[in-house]
Amino acid sequence: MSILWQLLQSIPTTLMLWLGAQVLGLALAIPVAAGRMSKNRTIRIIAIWWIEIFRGIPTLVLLFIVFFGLSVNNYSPSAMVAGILGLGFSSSGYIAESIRAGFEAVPKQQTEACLALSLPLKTRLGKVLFPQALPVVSEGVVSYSIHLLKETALASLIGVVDIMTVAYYLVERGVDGPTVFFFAGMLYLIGCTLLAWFAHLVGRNGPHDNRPSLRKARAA
Amino acid sequence: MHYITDLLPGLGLTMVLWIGICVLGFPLGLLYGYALAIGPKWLRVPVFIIVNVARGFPGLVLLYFVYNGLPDIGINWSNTTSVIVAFAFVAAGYTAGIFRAAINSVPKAQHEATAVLGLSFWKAQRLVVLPQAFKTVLPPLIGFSVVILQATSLGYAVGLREMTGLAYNLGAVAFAALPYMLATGFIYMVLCIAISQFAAWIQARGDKPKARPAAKTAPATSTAS
Repeated sequence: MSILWQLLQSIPTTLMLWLGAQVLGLALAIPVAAGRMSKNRTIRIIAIWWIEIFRGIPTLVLLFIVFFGLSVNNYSPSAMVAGILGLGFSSSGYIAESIRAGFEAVPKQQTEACLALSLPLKTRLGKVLFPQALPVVSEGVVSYSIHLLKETALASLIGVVDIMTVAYYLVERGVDGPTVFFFAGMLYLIGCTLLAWFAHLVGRNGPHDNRPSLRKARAA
Repeated sequence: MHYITDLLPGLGLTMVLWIGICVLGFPLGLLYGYALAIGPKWLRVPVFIIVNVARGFPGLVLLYFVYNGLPDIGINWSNTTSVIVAFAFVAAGYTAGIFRAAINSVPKAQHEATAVLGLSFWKAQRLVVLPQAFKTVLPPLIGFSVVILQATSLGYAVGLREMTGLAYNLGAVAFAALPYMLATGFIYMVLCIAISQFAAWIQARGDKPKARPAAKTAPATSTAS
């Protein structure tokens, strides 16, 4: 039981990594996705490269790059900061692609109709395109978010003391390996399941049915 | 530039791991796919649990489980074998869904037709179901192999000198950790883009309607009618 207790104590670290990377990834992904859909060729190409680079480099290598790269200028980031940065940058490419997929799923006629009605950009994006893109976007973001929770395990390799590090130390100290790693894996599995379940709950009466047209139809 | 050439020996091992994982993992995924698609319930339930463990556990946990955990119950595998086994398990779990969907996508009438024609189960699979499923499955499988290629970088964690491990060692020796890591990232990126492009090309080729060799089967259908 004490094994489980020691693993449980490191859950907050894992969650902090996950949350930090998620927030950073989203914050970076929004401008990248906007750039990816931009009409300006240069901006579009920069965004494409951003996505290809951060999707093409394995997360572990990215973590090392951030960890070593930031250490150069006499500034040594804590492992936690490097972990959040590395995981966040790697998520940004994937999340940007899901945002783009969401907006591309909205029929082109919607944009054309907005232009024909000369709706301002804010209304066009905020009231017409975004609500329709949201179901696809959130689906992609949630499935990456679940993946990201498992990816945080890699941060243990640059020295973040998360569930994995504790599990590894326990085994080094002679606790039965299969049991410890099974427990550790189950913690992640439970986390992923809870996330998926939570997303399902929110999604059921959230974005899917939240299109303005449907809302109005329901109110009437 | 020498940073990249220094890493080429590691690239060899990375490729060995990658191919090993695909060769072991994909057929296992196909078996899971069959179990999930048309298996009896007593088989479907355990396979469902195995698939969810493979998908819900982080790769690193499974790798440590195989490399640091299994020796406690008397299974001692080398680090190369451990990486291949652990990630083949993951790959099988992820591809099971792809294979199940492909098997289910073959219309049920065709299964019935093979039964009517008196084909044995395996002959029906080999001649009718698999050739059709294969075409659906190929682009997502190649796409997934990119994920596997990136996962081989975890070999570093069990002391393997594949590309990431080698870059780490060389970087530590030469006090040039960052350039070596950047070079590794660059090589992975080039490989991943190349593989994704290949998958996209296969997909585009498969979407063309003339890909099916219609001329060959035409005489057979005319005699049948």
